[in-house]
Amino acid sequence: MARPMSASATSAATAAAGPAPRDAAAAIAVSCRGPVVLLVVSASVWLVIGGVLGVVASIQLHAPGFLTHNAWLTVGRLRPASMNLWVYGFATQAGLGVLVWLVARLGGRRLLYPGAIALGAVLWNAGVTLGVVGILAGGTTGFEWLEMPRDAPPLLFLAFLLMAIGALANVVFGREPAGSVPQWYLVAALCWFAWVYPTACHLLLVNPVRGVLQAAVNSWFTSNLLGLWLTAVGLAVVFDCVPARAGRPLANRGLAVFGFWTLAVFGSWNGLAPWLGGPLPRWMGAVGVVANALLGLSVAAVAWNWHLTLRGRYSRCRTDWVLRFVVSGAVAYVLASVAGFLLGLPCLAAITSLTLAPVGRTQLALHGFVGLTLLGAIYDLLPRLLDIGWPSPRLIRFHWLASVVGVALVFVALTLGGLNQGLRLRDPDASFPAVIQSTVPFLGNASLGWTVWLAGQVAFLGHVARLLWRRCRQASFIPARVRTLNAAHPSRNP
Amino acid sequence: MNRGPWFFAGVLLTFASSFGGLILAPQLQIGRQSVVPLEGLGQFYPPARPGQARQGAAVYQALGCVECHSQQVRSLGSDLQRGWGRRMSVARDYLRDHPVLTGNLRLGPDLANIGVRLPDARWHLLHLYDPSSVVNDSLMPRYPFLFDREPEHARFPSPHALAMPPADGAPQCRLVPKPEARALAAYLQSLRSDVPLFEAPILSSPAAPEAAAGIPGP
Ligand code: HEC
Repeated sequence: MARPMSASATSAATAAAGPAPRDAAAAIAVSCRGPVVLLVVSASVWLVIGGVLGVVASIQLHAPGFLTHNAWLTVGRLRPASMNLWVYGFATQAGLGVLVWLVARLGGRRLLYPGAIALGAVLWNAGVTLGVVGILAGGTTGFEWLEMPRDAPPLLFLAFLLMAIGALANVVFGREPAGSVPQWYLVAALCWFAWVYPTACHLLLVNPVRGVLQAAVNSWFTSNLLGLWLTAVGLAVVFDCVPARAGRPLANRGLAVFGFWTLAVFGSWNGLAPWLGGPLPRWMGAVGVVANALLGLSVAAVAWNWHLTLRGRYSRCRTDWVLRFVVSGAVAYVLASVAGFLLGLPCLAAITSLTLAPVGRTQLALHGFVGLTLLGAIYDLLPRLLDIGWPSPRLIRFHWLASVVGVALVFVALTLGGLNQGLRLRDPDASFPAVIQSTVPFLGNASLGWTVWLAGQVAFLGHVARLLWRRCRQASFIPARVRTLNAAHPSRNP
Repeated sequence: MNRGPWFFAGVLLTFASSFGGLILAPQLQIGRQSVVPLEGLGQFYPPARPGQARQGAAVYQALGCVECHSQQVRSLGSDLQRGWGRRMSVARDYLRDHPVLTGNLRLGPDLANIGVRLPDARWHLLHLYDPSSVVNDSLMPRYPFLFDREPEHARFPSPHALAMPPADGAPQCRLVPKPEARALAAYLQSLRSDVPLFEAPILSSPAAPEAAAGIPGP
């Protein structure tokens, strides 16, 4: 990568001060190595496994004869399994890895409690394995994004607590005063997950609420898991990366405060918008629609702030791959938010609810925004932690291209397919099977999109493997701390 | 972080508001809803599912039918005109369900009233074995692993055996649904929310007025 790799405001500032602080930055990176590499690499493995299941499930939607002879391989199991792998295996896990690295770096102190965090990572992976095998074996609970059978959530939550408490300790006991924008999002994200996940598990699995309230709790859960937890981690990455790589401080801190608190207030209220016209009390859907519209304030504030910070320096995306991934993710955030706002409008929701269009929006938010920003962060952090550069810029380029093209194709295909489906279904005389047949070309394009996307992720996993392999072969007798990061990055200080 | 405590308080308070508003408030509003007696029948609505149908619900859940099928008749769109139900679904319809499988994607038709629309268990079994044998151009996946085969002239023929769909190319065999398949069909037969309720009367039907009158309010 041609661009200088000084990612953080802190390390950029300290790097200027001379070799000693750079050693400190390297020491922090080394202290994060165990747990963060474990989290990020396992996340990358789940990313590919979930992607394979997702491609098969997507093909099954338009080729119903594909792999039907075994219950484990039917779309009704592969689809939730791939979503759970994405949400828990990749996004939450990589998010935690990135989060741990960010809190250590922003706190300016070597990582505290790496052992607890690494133990949490191991337990987390055990929980994900258990849960996904459970789904494939038919043990699904039937609740979206909580399909994992009952044994998995306690394990996952315990693992999360270990990692979250470890991470919070790093914020509280950091050397640098806490209070930077990414830190707000990270700390809030931990609080939100710690609340929403066990609450939903309790109210759905352990001590279930009655009747249709389960559906309300489920929607509240999925919208918060995506809209607060994953979104906050993604936003933290953008707020960390954009100023550092644009080489200037964040344009407007007041705007950032506004964007944060509007997300906190409205982001948790919009989950029930899709229920307008459904069997829940009518006000719930209406509240969701209003919150959805007000959430636009937060998105606008955040996006404007990024734009002001990057203005005139967008061209850096051309050579800086980390920035390119993160900015693409930021664009996806804005697009997914606009799509969410539009699909939430009652006039459009009357057409598109329960069609493919909301699925397309969710995939854009998950794979576009959350996925691309986290992958960008991984491209930034792995070389620092392992003290070695990425072997092949071409693979990174391919990964970026495949991810962006794939997600865009999926989003466009599902959105148009959903509109087509919704508009045709409005005619009560249109036969349902015929309407669904007419969505086949759209579903086919979505499968194509997933396949392209998956090719990129396979390249990424291979690249990570090559990086690790090189690192292992390197003379590992020299303590990494002694070599400065410069040695591995000739391009670091141009 | 000298403002740390305020920050935490803010984050928790904003989130608590959504928890209170979207979880606790509806719990207070409809959490105490109960089944309603049906006048003169000695029965309640929604009815408890018979054992086989309850097992079928578990099969439905385990096979992830909810990925493609909703179980909610909405007031928007063409649901009612399509005959997916005689009234829109309301909270009371789901009182006995766990998990509630309302679904959020309709790649297949809504099934809230499939028991009214298609009451024939044989139809469901053949449809599960090979949907395109009963519906032209069906995009629903097949579920052949829910069935066994037996020869046409078996010594101890199964009482549940069905004729093979003609397109299958095995005319000398008969199709024997496994217990899971029969349970699933029983569950589909049990899916019906056609009882008029105070909060969801059936307007178009001539029988509705007196039936609705017999049912107390919430
Ligand atoms: C890939 C999506 C998909 C899955 C998964 C799926 N279905 Fe379907 N289903 C369809 C489609 C499309 C139709 C409409 C065509 C037809 O009737 O075959 C349909 C139709 C039906 C019908 C007839 C409805 C009517 O009004 O005519 C029933 C009953 C049904 N499905 C039951 C099930 C059950 C039970 C399962 C789980 C074992 C299931 N489906 C899984 C897509 C799906």
